[in-house]
Amino acid sequence: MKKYIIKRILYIIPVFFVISVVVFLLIHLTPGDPARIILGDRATEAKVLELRETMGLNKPIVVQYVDWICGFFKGDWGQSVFMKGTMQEILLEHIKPTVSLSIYALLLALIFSIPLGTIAAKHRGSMADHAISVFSMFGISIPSFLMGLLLVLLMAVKLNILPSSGYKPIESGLLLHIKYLTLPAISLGLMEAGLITRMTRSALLEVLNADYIKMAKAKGVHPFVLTFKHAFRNALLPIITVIGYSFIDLLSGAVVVESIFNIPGVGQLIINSIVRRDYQVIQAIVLVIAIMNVVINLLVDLIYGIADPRVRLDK
Amino acid sequence: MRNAKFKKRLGGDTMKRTNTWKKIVSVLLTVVICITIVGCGSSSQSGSSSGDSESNTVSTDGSGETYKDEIHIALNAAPPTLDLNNTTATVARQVAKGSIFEGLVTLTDDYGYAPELAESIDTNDDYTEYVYHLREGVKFHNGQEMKAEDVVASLNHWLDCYQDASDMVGGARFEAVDDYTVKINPTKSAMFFNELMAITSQGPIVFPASSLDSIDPETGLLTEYIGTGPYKFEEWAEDQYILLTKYDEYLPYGTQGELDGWSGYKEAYASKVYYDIVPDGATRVAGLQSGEYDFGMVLPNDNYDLFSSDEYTVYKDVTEQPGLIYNKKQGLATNQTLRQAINTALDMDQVMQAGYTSSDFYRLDSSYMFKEQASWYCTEGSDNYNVADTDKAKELLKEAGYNGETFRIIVSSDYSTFYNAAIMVESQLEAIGMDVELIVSDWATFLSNRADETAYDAFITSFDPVLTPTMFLPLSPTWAGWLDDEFIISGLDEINTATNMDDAVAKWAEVQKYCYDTYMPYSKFGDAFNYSVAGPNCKEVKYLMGPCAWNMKVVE
Repeated sequence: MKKYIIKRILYIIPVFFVISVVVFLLIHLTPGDPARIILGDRATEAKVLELRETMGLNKPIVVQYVDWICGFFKGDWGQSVFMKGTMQEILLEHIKPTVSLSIYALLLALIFSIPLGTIAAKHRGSMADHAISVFSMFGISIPSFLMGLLLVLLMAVKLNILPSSGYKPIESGLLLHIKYLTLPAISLGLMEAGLITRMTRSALLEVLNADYIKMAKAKGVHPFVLTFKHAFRNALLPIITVIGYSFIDLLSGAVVVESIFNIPGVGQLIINSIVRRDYQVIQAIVLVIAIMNVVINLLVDLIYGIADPRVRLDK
Repeated sequence: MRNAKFKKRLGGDTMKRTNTWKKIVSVLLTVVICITIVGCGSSSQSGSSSGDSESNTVSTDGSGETYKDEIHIALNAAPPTLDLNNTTATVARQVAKGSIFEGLVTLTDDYGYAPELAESIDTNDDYTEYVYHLREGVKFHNGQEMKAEDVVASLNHWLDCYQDASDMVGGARFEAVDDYTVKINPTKSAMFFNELMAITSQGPIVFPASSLDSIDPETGLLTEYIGTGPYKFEEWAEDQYILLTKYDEYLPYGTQGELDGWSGYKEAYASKVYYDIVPDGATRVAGLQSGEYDFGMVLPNDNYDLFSSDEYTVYKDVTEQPGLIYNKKQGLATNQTLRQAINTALDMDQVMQAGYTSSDFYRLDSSYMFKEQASWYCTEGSDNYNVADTDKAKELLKEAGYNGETFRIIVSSDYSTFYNAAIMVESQLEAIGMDVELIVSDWATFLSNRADETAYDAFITSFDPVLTPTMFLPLSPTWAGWLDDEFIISGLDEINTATNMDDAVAKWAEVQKYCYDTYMPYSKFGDAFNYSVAGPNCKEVKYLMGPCAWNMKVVE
């Protein structure tokens, strides 16, 4: 197991290098530069060139890459042209809202999707099954931004129950923090709920038809125990996979939802950074997300081993 | 019997485990539901969401009304910096000018200027000496009193940053005469120097001389924002908000209750002003309707009707004049007759309608200087504005020797108004037989392309109001478009060095006529408005190209 974990962690290194080169080249070869954005539309060419020189943007691209990558390994992830603080501080500030939102959205999704998927599987073909299928299709089909806008219109503008936008950090109070994240979490969670519901239903259906389940039923095992102790645990693997991918997807930044609800998360940060060509920030975010991707996939694999002891990861 | 007992025991154990599981699940569900209800319920207790933070009511004007201590203004974009010497971004000026930073002079309602940190101004007859007598007792936000040395340091830094200003004064510099007097001696007549200092974009601001030490060596920008205004810079939460707090030692000037543009007696009724950064238009609209924001900047034109009721106050501003700027340095548009042909083909009403959706948001006007700027407004050359004559355009095209080459127009997709107008321009030019290529990109790429004279033949952008025609960018030889006409350049120079307004205005009329009748550096589409909205609780908002945080009262 340890060997497996170490091997997976080492995989991060080549992934890191490939992504660093690709993202560096993509950004630097795209037209536009931060000097023009800072100085604005009316700036003279002389002023722009002067600022580019000051910012080191006129150095050869290979030199810029080497400077950046060496700095990265020394802990200097670069400086944002537009934001104060170290890169780590900037990323942390923006990751916190995204992590909170992701966890909240996923929790909401799981609270509804697991029971609904289970009910649908157990009562296959019934009205309940059809209704849940419609719900899950609705969740998957409706774009999160549309859901977000509808929720804002209803819950914030018409009913004034929840705020329309904004973000309060957890330091402002847990309940306030949760309140501001509720509408965006519902917008995002609905799609994940749809996916997880369908996966839960199909995974459970497969297991519920197994011989050992029929045997347990024949032996008089209570339906609740039968479903959640015997069937569900065996159906967990594909569900864990979907949950893992959903979490990665959410952490990468739900750009549109963050935009609508004005949440200063990773999604907004990367869009703003691309628009204003804040090179160092774009590079840092992409690398961090890539590393998070690898780490979460590793965690999902480890959870497989816990959920199903038959899975041997080191073989 | 044994089997029955076994079955009963098995069933009994199973029953116990089932009951335990049921209890655990029930408790968990109850907890989750409670959290959700309490979380939702707490919003209704505090009323609007903007009331979640501390909101002490304050009444400062003796009227008996109580005002919110914290106001929220939704900005449509994040400023790149608040160093106003080094940025032309409108939002930077809207946040910082007049609230954090003040200048020797500032803008009035009629786009003139009035003294602000200067108590009085003396000028000689030929505008080669400006003496500014400073107001005494004015304190910076760090508690230090403003003296001449600070003004000299600030304004000379501005001259270093802003080439046009330095050119206007012929390289002259500010000097301190005594602790409360500064002067500058332009090397040539500079009649409009005060107008230049009152400009809306990249205008001079006064800060402590020691602030120059805070300049970031990498970007050349100030990193501390210490001014003399009624609000001081408190916090900038990236991509969230900029927080200003009331400066208790602010020294107002003028007569209480009187404001003229950005000048006059400033009072800070709210102790906290949040400029919330809300780039999405729909979010600003929803936030205004729900009470999250007290003021919403630059709202989408499509939502205009939502604010037609009396509870909202709509501020419509003429903010820009969009147009097609020709590349006079290289390519097809170096041909003056071709430029005339294109201008003759364009139906400006259709172009503006395409860009701005409704005549509520634009007007057709040929003058390069806005109607609101009475001194400079003129209609010379208007016969060649909005001609929309396709036959004449085709003749001119033939005369220009056009052979079907591709005419490249660059435009940014980040501004839907420009992009939509560009589509209409493209179709109108194709109607006269031109082959047009629209090169659409994001703003950063557009700026980069615009600096490359080989990349395009014309581009579409817009221009803010300027105080004098000599600041009008399409007529600048050093700005994109690269005007190279001796008559215009010398004409603008004559305006700059004029010693009386009549001569300057007369010369300007000649220059504008020449632009329309002959040179055609730029095809103006029209004047455009945007609108911002004050929420139902906002009272007495002073608005001039943006809301003034000072004197803004928001009722609790």
